[in-house]
Amino acid sequence: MLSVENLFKFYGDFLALEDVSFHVGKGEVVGLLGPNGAGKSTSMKTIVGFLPLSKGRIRVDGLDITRYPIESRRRIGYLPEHTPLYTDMRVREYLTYRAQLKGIGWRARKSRVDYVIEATGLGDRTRQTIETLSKGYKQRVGIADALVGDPGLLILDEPTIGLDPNQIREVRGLLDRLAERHTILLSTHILPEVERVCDRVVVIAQGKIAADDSISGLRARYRENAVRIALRADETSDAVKSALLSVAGVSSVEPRFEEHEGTRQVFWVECAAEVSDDQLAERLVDFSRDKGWPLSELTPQRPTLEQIFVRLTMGELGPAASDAEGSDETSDTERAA
Amino acid sequence: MSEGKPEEAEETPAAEAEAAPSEEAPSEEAPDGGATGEAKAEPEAPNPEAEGAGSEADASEAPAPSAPAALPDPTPAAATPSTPAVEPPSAGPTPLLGTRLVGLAWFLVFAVLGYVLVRRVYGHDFGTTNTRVLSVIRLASIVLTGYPALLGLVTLLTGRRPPARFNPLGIPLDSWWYQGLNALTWRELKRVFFHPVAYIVLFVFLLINGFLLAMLIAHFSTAQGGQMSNPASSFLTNNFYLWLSLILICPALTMRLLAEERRTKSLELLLTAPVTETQVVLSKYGAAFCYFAFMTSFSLGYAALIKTYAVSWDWGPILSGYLGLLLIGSLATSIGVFTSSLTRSQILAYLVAAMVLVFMFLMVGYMVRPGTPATAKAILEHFSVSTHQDQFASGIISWRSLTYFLTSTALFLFLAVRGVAAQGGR
Repeated sequence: MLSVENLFKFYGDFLALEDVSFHVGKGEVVGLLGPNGAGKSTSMKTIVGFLPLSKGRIRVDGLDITRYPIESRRRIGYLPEHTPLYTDMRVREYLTYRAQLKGIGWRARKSRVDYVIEATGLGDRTRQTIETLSKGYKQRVGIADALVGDPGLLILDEPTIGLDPNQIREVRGLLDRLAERHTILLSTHILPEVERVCDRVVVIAQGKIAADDSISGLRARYRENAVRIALRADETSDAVKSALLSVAGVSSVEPRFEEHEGTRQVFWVECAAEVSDDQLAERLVDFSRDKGWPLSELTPQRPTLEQIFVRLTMGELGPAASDAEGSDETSDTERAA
Repeated sequence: MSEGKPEEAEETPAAEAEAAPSEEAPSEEAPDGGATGEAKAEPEAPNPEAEGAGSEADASEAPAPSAPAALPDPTPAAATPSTPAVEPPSAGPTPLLGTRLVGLAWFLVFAVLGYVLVRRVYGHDFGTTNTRVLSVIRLASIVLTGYPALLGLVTLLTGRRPPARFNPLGIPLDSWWYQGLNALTWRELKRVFFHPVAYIVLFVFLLINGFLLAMLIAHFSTAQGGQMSNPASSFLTNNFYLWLSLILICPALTMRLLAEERRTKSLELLLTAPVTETQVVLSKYGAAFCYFAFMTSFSLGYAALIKTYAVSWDWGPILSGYLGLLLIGSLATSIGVFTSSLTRSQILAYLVAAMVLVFMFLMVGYMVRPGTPATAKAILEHFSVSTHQDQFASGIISWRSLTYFLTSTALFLFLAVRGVAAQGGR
């Protein structure tokens, strides 16, 4: 549906996008993530043909956008950041105008506008001027506008920015419904949204693609290779530690003294990369049974999307880079959850 | 205009071909590309060739034969699941006018224009006896009008527009182009006519015209009243105070048009819709020009008023004076649209446009001095609006003046298109 190949974008001397390539297949919902200024909006604006690309190729439905600007734009519904609209127009009037502009013939126009009004839940606001609408409704008008040309691909730049939690929930529900019929590329930095809505994420940092994977794939790639384990043992923690180190695949063990209470001892166990979390957990369960030390906690450390995001975008790109501080946070959040 | 840059043809046909089958449903209409010229019947015609995507011959012809070849039997089965009544209203570009109709219009307009122009050119010696120069001029007149007419004729006969490489100027021959322009222009007309600025401008204009009327009446009531030729047309269409009011008014009409879109970022919305910069600029210019014509038509009422008291009356100079005024308005609005396209600040757009207008209106009056060389004087006079309007106001419609106004309007509109396309302010 959309393919971006080796896209470069210069603003004068400033390299805003460097060799960005990704694909969005038909029916996929892809999230474009990245910190502010990373190039999310720039790449979206380039895809919709608003900014000319400096180098590379973008194809929508197989059509090169520089060669077929009009035809490729017909296939895209775009919601710009901050949703600029003609605020002096009424909702229906505006959508009718946009439908006309997007080449919907007069016969189909009314039913098409009715359909998008229905789909975005604007039914009770059609006669209101856009400037009097709340931000959530304006956002819906923007999405309705993106939909009205019946595009195969929706490109939504921060569809939930500046909305209150209820409105975010509404827009997210709308996105869920749209995802059934449309291919969607959306940018956001609200991470729970990505987890809810997207099949796949493309992370952009400093103008480059930092990751392009499914969320579970990212989790697997950036796993900590670590387990938090709590045992009830009468031995000294050094003895338990050396016992733990004898388990196959365990590379380091660190006691968490501050959390010891009575005979409960907590350890941070790291393993080699080739051992999966499941294998390690099984081995540790066997270990506790063999030793007769009851196991009270066994938590594989899974990074949240937020941590992955921070790591990807702060330049620590390797899965090896796991610092103790980040791990502590993990355990805290895991326990809270 | 800004149809896709005809880049190097390294686009592989395979890439295009892969696009064609993935279209929603090229099943019904795609196979007979030629016969579907009047594409108005198809509500959905997303295949590139029908809407001018396949403008380039290589592209449009590559997918066309391959798609139908693969389609005939499997499509009904294959298309039904992929478009399971996707949405109740099957939306898609529906051409308002058939492509053939557009071709017919271009053909007729340029055939008539060409006939008139070529006849004139052949009847004129251009002050030279050099036959080579003459034949170049004659050939140019034939090509300039004959070529668009030919393209129109081809479009009319084939029902689809000729490939882009035969149309380097990007003459719009697709019905969607006119449909988009129509949508944009109505929107802009509403924006211009339903805005307070329009009526402030009208107020100022009518005030100054009332003042001019008073001056005209005063002029008639003095002793030298009869000595001036065409007093009514000179006062109402060719007067210093009128220039002043136009310099103040025209930029005010146009300053908003693009600068505001840029400021509120709605330009992004506009340009990511399937429209070209040319359509956007033409619609803005068209709307502003319509308002200008609407405004000037009021002062024509004054002329009619004076006529009832006039001893002798000649509509000729009045009408040619108003023609000149409209041409001036066209130039002034195109300048205003241009300056508005450059900035997001309306004030800046206003000031720059007003400065350009001051220069063009008052160039001769202040720059030509007794010692000015003859060539410089001739150039300044040609580029000054007032020399041309002097002629119009005295009843002379010269090709030279028409050419001056039309080409300079076209130049500023072209610059405005470039201004909209320019990236600086985005």
